[in-house]
Amino acid sequence: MFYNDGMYLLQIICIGIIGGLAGSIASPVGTTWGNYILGRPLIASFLIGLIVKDVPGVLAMGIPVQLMWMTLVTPGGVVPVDLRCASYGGITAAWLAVYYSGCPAPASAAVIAALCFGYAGTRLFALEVRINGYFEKKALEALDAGNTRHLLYTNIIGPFLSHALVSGMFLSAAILLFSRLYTVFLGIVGSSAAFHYAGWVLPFWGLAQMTHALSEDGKWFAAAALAMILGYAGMPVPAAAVLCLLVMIREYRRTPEEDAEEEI
Amino acid sequence: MKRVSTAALRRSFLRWFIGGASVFTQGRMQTLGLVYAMEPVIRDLYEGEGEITARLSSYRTFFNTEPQIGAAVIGMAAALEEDRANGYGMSDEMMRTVRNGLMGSLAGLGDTMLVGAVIPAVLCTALGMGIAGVIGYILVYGVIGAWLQYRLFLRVYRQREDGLTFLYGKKTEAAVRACRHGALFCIAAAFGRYGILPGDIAGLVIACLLAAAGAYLLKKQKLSTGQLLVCMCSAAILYSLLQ
Repeated sequence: MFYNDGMYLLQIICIGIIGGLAGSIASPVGTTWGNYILGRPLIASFLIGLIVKDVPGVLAMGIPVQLMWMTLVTPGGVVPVDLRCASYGGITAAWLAVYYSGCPAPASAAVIAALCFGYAGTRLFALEVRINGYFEKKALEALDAGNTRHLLYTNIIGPFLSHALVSGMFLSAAILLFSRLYTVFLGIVGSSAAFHYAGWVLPFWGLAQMTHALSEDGKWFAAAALAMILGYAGMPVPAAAVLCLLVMIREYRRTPEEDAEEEI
Repeated sequence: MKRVSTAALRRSFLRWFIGGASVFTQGRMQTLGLVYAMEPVIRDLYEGEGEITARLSSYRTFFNTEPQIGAAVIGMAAALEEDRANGYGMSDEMMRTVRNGLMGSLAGLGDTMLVGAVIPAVLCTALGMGIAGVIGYILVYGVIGAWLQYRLFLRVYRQREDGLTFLYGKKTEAAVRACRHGALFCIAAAFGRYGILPGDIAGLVIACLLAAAGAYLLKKQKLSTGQLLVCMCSAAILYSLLQ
């Protein structure tokens, strides 16, 4: 069996450790490099693909997950969904389960697994915050004692080790356990049209949240629909990026009269 | 006249960049990140472990911001600390008030502009470029983003509040709006290209209508995201049964 093979177990542990280091808010490699780079499903699927030597296959599973949570914001330290768990746990577990069950809808499998991992991952975030509470206590005690050098251990080395070891092992174990259960699940429902469509519609659930967050009025609904039709018609991504820039320049240069007109 | 050395400023920024939120807790959130980032600055301005510890202890109050744009708060804290060391009558209370005022407003700006618009727009562009896009995103956001944060940190340190005015002007408001709408356009195009099953026009129309209706209901607060999730999955299963 796959998991009895030492090399593959090592691969899962590597993925778990990278996922642990990516962090959710409390990333030991910094918010920019951790949460906003390592933690994004697109980057995660690329790294997982490198580790399991199937970059195109895993990227194809990561893209719908990325689309689902494109504009995930964690205001005030509230984590509604743990994106790195969804990325590293969900995509890896789905890839393993698809590999063994032969499920014909890998994208749907990835999105549904990512949803489970994303919500369950908030518990891992809560655990990390509790562990951080220990480091904080130690740091404050050291400060009270006048030992400022201790901050290196409590702010950098401690969180790095705890994320790599505790979160990394937790994530690896979750991938192993979930992928086994998910393989059985996919064997039963993985070929059904209901599973296929349920997974496919989930990114649109993300789109609804994004449109709600980003649009100000109905005209932006229409603009989004137009962009979607252009994308569906095969507009290449660089062209979409150029159009996006044009929209941004137009919006940036909007006159006060236009603003006032919109307010009315 | 005491000045914070460039080396200390670099160390301070690097500490914030790496460890700003590494010891995030529910109680004090990023307080320890702020203390850690301020240590090189304080060590540069004061002498004697007693005074250094006392100054660091004044940063133990609650602190939480968007860590990327929040580099500006660290720049401002370093500038105020320098003013205090030069005897400009900065009280701890005054410094804390400035920090608290900045952390909230900058968190809102960072979440709206960077996390809610710039990152999605860059990610969408990267999405369609395969491996080159992934590497491009890492370079653009990881390197240029880090450099811009450092520039913001230095700008605010050098110019004090004048270095921040550009973040609160009409132009920034326009830039945030532009980023939001540009990102929405880019995300929708990426959905059209990668999120839709090939050849399934009926499915495309239904999914778009569901997304539009969902966005409308979320805006009107008639539905929570969880309820919307259940509705959309039910609709998808129903659609599959009708196929």
